[in-house]
Amino acid sequence: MTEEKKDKEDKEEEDDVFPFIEGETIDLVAENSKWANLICKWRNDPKVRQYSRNMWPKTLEEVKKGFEPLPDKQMRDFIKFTIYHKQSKRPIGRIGFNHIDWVCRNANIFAEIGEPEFWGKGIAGEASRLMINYGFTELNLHKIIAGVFTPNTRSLRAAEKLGFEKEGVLKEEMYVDGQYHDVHRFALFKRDWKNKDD
Amino acid sequence: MEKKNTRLTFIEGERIELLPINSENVKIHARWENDPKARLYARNVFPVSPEELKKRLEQTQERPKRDIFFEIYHKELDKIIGFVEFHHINYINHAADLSVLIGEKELLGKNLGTEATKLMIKYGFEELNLVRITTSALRPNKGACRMIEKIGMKLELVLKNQVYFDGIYVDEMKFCIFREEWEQTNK
Repeated sequence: MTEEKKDKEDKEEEDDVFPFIEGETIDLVAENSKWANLICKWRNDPKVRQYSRNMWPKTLEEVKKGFEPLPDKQMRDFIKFTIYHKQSKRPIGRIGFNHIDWVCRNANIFAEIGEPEFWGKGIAGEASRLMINYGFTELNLHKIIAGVFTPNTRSLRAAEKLGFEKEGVLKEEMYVDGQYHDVHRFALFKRDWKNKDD
Repeated sequence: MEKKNTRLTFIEGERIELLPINSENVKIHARWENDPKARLYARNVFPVSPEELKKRLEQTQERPKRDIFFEIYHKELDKIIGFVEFHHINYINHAADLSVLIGEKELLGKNLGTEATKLMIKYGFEELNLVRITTSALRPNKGACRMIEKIGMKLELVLKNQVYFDGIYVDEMKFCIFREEWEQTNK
């Protein structure tokens, strides 16, 4: 690729990145359908999906459907972002809330770093902190829930580091890799998050 | 007896019940919407056909609902007498706007609107987890203003000459109640 052409591609790429929440090493940006192929790759990647518990193949059409706008005025029960690595200028994962209950004011947080080379660098932690702050200060949530299953030690540690407290253990809730695993349910309340910041 | 069985009571009050909208009642609603006296303070300045109303009242599939509409059913008279609704529910701010209408004129002044409003406020705070409920009334509608303040809602602001009403511009009064205030007097 010639220098000129590459510059042009970089430029194009940046024009399509819409940061919504800015972090230090990453931004949380609005999802862009041009990354559908990439997202589809992450969702099917055996290493990535192992902990995300995607046991069904995900087609590109399904992923693309997720970009379609909701019917007019409808309140969404999920909010998703793409995690964009600023220095390398590329999308590397996804984060979001799903199962948002707007009356009880709680939501489940999920995060997935799709590019294994970025694992273990604290990126999911940074993205989660941005997301949690967004949930409490902008969405006015009361409680954020996270579920981690036993072998995912990295996520278990991350949840505790973020201030989540274990609410309970769902025995043999998940069947992964030929075995049943416990799911640890964590919760973080707005009042505790606020205290932590002060 | 058969009629009673088909009634879908959602909230039970003393003299009244709040029921989900029943499209079979659309003609009754149309009568209220067009009735000169009933529509006076509700500010319906355009005629409404039953077909239009039916479309407007169609239950949306959206969840959670932005607008929640109930018919007010009078137990003793065994008929619907008006409606009450939350509109523009904001689930981030946990706020909603409330409006009530007693369509049967002969039942005005019997505090039925008060009872319906109280049931809605309780529903809004205890079931929908709202923190703030607002309502508004025109200054000339003295009965409504008195009723709203009696319930414990406080005058928050006055929009000067906001509404063209019966040939003159009149003030719109905005009232509000917070959950904390309501809990203090109702628990």
